[in-house]
Amino acid sequence: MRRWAFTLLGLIIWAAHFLGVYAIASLADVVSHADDPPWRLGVLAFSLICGLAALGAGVVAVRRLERTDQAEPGRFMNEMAAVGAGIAFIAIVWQALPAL
Amino acid sequence: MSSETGFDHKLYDRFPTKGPRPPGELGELDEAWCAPRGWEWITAINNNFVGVYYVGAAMLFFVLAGVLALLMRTQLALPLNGFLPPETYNQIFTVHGTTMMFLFAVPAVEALGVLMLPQMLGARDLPFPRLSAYAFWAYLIGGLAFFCSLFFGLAPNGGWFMYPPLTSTAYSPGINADFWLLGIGFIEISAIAGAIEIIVGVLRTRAPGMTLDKLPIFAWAMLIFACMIIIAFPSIILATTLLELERALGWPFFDAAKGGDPLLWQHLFWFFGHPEVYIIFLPTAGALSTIVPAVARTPLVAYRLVVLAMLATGFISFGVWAHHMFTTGMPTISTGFFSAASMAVSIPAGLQVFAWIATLAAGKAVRFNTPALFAIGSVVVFTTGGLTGVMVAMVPFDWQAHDTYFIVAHLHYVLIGGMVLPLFAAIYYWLPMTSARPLSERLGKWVFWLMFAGVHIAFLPMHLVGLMGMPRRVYTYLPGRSWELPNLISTIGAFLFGLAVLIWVIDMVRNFRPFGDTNAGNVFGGPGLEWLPAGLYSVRSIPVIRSLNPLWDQPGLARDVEAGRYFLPGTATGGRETLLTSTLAAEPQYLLPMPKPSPWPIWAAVFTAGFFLLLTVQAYWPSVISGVLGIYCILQWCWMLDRPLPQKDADVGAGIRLPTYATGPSSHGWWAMVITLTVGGMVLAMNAFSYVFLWSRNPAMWAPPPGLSSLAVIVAANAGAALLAWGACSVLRLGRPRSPVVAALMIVAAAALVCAGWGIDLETWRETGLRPSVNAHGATVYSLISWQGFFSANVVLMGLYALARWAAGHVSATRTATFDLIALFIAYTAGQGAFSALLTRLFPGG
Repeated sequence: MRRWAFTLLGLIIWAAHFLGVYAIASLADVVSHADDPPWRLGVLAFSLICGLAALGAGVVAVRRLERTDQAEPGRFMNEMAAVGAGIAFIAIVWQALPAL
Repeated sequence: MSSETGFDHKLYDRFPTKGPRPPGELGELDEAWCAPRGWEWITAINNNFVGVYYVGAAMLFFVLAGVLALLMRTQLALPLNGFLPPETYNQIFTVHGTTMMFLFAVPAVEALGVLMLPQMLGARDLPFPRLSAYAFWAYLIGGLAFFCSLFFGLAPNGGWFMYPPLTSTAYSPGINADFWLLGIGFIEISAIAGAIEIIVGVLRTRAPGMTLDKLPIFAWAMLIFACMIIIAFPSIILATTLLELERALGWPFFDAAKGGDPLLWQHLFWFFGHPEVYIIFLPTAGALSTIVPAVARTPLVAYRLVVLAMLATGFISFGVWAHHMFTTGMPTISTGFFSAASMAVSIPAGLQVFAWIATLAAGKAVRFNTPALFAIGSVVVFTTGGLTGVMVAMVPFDWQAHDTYFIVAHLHYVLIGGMVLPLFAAIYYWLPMTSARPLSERLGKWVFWLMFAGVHIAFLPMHLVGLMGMPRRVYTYLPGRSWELPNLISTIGAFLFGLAVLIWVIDMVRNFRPFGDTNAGNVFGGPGLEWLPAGLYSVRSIPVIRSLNPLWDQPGLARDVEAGRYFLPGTATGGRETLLTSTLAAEPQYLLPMPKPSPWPIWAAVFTAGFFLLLTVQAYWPSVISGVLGIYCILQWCWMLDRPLPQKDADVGAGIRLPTYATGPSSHGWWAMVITLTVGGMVLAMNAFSYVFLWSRNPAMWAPPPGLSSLAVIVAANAGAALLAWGACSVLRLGRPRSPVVAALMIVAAAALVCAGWGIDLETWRETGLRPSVNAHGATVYSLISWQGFFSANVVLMGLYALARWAAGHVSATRTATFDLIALFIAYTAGQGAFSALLTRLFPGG
């Protein structure tokens, strides 16, 4: 299960980011107004954390890939993790743009 | 990764084995997997039969729903047409959409998985064939009953997404809406049962050596599809339950006057409904990724990126549900998030399209046969639908196009291009695997061109008429708005499509010959294991896989498999069996004895369907009796499980011995239970979301919770239950003479503690004076308590079952699987009870 979680880590971070920004906006809508600047800053800060986490996951996956003794399906799963984390990073940046 | 389980990979070098096979080995295999006779055709459970029944039933519903579409198009061909009365039209468009989405699209791809996966993975069958049979019969009976409601004027009429308040008792007083709510909720249970089978099947019954990087792309697609069902479908099960509770008992989840909110339905429905589009699309995309390389005679370009794209689609599809709700007044920034996600989801889908185009471009002399035409045609139609999808992802455009025929055009382009045409490609491509004769190429090309033309002629004008302002779901329109000609053209296109389906039906009648001793063979030169010579036992021997395209890259594979030179060349234990392998590297772990045909799953499906249908027509006592009979059948079915074979291990080929029994995380039953509990957890999560959402709509209406002292008691009772359950398994494993009875009593005590926790929760809320029908707060609190009550009732049943197993002498230290699974269930239920109590008492607090 840990290997599956690592393979999907980037996409999981992206999903957590999406649910997080939706939750922050919904909470803001209850407390005050979702479009207020402090809440937008909250979204951006959360996005920064998620983006860094995705990058971190990508770096770990790339380092694992650099090891030459990788056999299948380990190599396959690390490739998935690395590219998935890269995609997640881009998706998080894209997803945060409405908060700017 | 060296070895995932400790299995020595050098053992693979023993295959293919040399020398002659023992005489009679093949005969024993034939005998174990013999075809049903007489009435046994109904009780057949292996995928060769159930898969064909399943696909056939799905296509029957496709034809039936298609006939309804033709009725609608006849009505709309002319302005002020009187072909259908308004109420009938409303019922027909509701049943058309519902049947296409719930009775055709999802079951069809699930059926394709049940039919194809065992052969594709090199397994004898999926690991829970009785569950497949149960899922199929439940779906068929429930689906037919739902469809037949149309003939009695009792069909639902609120549209396929059944928005309240239109579907509340105030505006839909009859039982029409109840048919939808109970019928669809029930059918989704069948879909979930199929998904559990597929997930465990793909992860655990692959041929040895079929590591994840060699997993057929269709199997990847089915795995992601099934996982998405597990995450998405609980939401619609909860939604239908809540609306039924509101309609039957007056619990006001969606009644704004009592603190409810109709938007809750939309959130719950679309959290299921949008992923549903990808749930339908991914398996057929997997089929296209299999068919395109076969017709292009070259491996799929960018296999790994396509896998990642499918995974990404699976994730992103859960972040786009609210793009169906842009016009509901959500905060601007929220619509921005959903709009961004909706545009992003087109990228992984686009990547797959480019991979198919690149594969065709890289191909060696592409053959434009019928599957190829359908594959290429579906890319064109799906891409067109995808482009209009990006258009409606733009919030300002969506505001204009919402609820117009533009949306009807968009969704039909996406669903026909993304599901129907690829499904026909799959039928033409794979049918020779299950039939003695392939379908006609000549007629197939007629079918394709009529369908391809029909789609465009029917749906392209709908974009225009939508932009001209024609709304959805109107039974007629006035002349003089320039809508006449586009509507007439659409009707002609729909009939062309219908003609194509009719020709296909004729072709099927002429050529489809399933269940025979032979099949038409690898007509299209595909590279997958499904094209190995096979009988009712699937492959003669289970090969060692060394390539993603084994039939292209492993010379002599088909010959050696048929000669029995790989794993399980006969029956190792004298009965039906298959190999269970590890999830990542597909290393052989144990031999799974498979069940023989049995009537219990079918009876269980009949009585479960009876329970829901009788409930719908408000025959409460017959419904209860049917439910009790259903539980009895399921218990009978379970009673035969967890019976270890006399031999603890068996020779599975080339002198390799594997155990015949497993329990704990390495067993297939454990995986199935974890997935089942994930479904329960998702319903709980959506229930918790409903609780918080309704609070956010009207916090002033929320009453103070019971005191915290009761919370401590509930949490302690549940913690004690979990500890007792796990302790029972440890005690059983000690293997002492009194271990079985002590373990059984500990399970019973754990069940009692769970019930005590639930009872205290219920009673303390009742003491506060809060009632479920008073306001939304009461409704959501009691909804959470009811869900826990449902699980507690199951725990009681399991406790009694554990006692009965002990009394019958079926409990021992060498057969702990039943107790392990019961303990897992009790531990989850205890956690769920504690969570519900914590949520309702601490949020928002007193």
